[in-house]
Amino acid sequence: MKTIVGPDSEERIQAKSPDSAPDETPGSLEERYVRHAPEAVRLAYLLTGDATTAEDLAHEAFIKVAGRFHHLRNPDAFAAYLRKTVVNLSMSHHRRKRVEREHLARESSRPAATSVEPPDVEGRDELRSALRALPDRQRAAVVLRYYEDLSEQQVAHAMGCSVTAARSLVFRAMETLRTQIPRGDDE
Amino acid sequence: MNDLEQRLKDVLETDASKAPRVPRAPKGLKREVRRRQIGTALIGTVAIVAMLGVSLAGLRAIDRTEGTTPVDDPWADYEVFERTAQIEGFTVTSPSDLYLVHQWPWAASVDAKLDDRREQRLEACGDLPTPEERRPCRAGLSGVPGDGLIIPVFMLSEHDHGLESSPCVDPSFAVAPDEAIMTIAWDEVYAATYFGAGDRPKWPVAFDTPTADDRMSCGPGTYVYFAAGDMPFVAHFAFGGEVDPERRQTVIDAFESMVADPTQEMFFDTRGTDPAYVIAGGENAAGPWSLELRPSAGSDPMSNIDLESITAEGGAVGLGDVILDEDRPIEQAGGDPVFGAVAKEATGVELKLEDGTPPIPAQIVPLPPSMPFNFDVFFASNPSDVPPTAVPLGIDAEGPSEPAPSATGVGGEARIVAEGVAGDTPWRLEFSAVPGENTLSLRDTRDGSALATLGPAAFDRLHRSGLELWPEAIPDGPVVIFGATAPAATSLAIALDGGPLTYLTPGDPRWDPAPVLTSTGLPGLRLWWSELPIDTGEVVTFSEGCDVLARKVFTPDHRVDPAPKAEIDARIDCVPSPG
Repeated sequence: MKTIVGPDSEERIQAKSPDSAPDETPGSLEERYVRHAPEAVRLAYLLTGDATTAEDLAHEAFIKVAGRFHHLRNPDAFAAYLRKTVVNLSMSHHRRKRVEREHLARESSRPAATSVEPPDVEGRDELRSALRALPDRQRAAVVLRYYEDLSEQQVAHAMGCSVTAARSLVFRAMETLRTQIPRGDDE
Repeated sequence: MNDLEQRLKDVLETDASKAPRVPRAPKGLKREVRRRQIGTALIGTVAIVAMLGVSLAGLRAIDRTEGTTPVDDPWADYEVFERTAQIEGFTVTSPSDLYLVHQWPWAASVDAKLDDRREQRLEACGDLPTPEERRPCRAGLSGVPGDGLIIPVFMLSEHDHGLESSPCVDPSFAVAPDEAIMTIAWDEVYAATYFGAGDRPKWPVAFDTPTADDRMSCGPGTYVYFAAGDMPFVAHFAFGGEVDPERRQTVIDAFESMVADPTQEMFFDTRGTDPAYVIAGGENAAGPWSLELRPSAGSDPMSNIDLESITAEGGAVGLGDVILDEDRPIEQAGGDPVFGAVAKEATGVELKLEDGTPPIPAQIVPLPPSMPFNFDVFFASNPSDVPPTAVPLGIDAEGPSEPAPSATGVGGEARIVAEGVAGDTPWRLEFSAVPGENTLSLRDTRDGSALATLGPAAFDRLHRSGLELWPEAIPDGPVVIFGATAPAATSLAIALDGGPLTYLTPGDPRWDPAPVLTSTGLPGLRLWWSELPIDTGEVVTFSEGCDVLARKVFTPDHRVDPAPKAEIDARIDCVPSPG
């Protein structure tokens, strides 16, 4: 029977590095980072709209998942957990930002700066604005469904909710977008 | 994909292309990951001193429970049967008077909540300069049981401890003197340390398998460590000082006869986080099923229990918020198994089959003491394809009560097929109405499985309320809502919850298919169904004169709430009958 306790447990565990684990997911940690991190960054970017934040969140998510769920051998499971962690961290990020914004609003009467982007075609700016105005969870559900092309079940897993709740989030988001972007839909 | 969806996809892909590129792993990645792994593992490994404290505290807790009065045995007047049920890939056989509690989704969610706090505290210790300082700091973090290191999958216990209680989660958990308890739990810290099951002995293992692992993460007791599905698990046994040796052996036998075949699918469970009593299990044409009992979550005074038949794939057929009275002492749901609630006065329940074959006796199960409602639950396997009607026995000299006059059926049998494609998922269901029996069954024609049965009790309720709903009747299928309405209803509407939404009236293109009030051959009953893109809303039926006849709210998790939601209530207007 294996014991994992003892006065030198820290050293023994350190000696058993992730790379030496016999049943580890194929590929080194770096290779896995290269394989999964870009997708995590893109997802985080779509969820936060900020490049620096996206990089930080994706990196943090990778560290969390690689550290905690390293025992999962199925690469698909790793990607799913990474996606879920990115979504969770993005939600936490939005919560923190909301608190900060409320604090700043109390401290200063200056209106918040709005981003200036080049003009767009075919109402994309309008759609982009409407997308950013969605509640965080609805936006996340839409990004996972239409950008990541996930099934409703996979969206539910990534968001930690039931399939019907995920479906409901997507539907509500699309209804909101439809009312704000009436042109060209339901034809 | 419609135009809006396509435009949305284009915008998202364009925006994603602006995301920063990540060509290679940053420096220090491996160190960071390893620090996280070691940190997670160390929470458990440095806990020996604290364990001793916990052990002493636990022994004191056992002492404290001596002399307490055990609750009356709820099974004193009931037949105990052998129950074999599957929970997260573990198939366990035990007597029905032991409480079997499915705790995994709840325990995993407790673990997830603990995670951030645990990580922060670990990181704070990691900032200390020397190992001599870091070790006692980390040791001080240990609060096991309850630090989320050992995640219970299920618990088998002599007494009813409620659903959210476990020796591996609650440090104050007390074992009664006459009690034998077994907990099967996922060993998270071991998994994080050894990237899987390590060299743990593969299942099956014996109760007396020696172990050098003395973490005692579930408090005092006997520990057996094993691997199943390449994952590490712990079996923890706690025996009170006065436990009956036979009872002790029963729990050990339940462990040693267990079939352990868990998969990593358990980490992807999306069925919510509510733990449940597993009161029965079995196997039908679609595979293993288990019958789960939990308190109803509604705030309505009539809220009581939810009883669901769960398949291994996660599908569910349920019955909730039971209302029984003298006229209607039984309610039933499901096809195989058939299950439901019955008045306590009943001495038995039988399934009466419409083809005249001998009735099938059902097993009656008393509710656990934590659910003090005045009825019992029952279940029975019905391997035949014949729709059954559950009838209570012993309530009066005549046997089962007769249906209410208003629900007496005449005319021939009606079979109605409803079908559609939601996304990529085709579905096809068949209603079979049996006028002579006043039953209506709902069957999934893809695999022949019976999904729900509307029996005489529900017919009577229908005639009282004018509306009966089966939201999300299809396991793993689209959100399809089925309803039955009283004859006076000539049109219906659904008000959808949330957002700037309006009704779906019968002419609305979002009805898919459009709801058609279909005659069933049963007097006073019309059926309708439609795929819906949402899981919460209110159904309203209208008379020809546009009067509201009935309304019910359907909510996620297959619940039907008779009390309309206020926010929906404000938006209900008269909807004219279709031309």
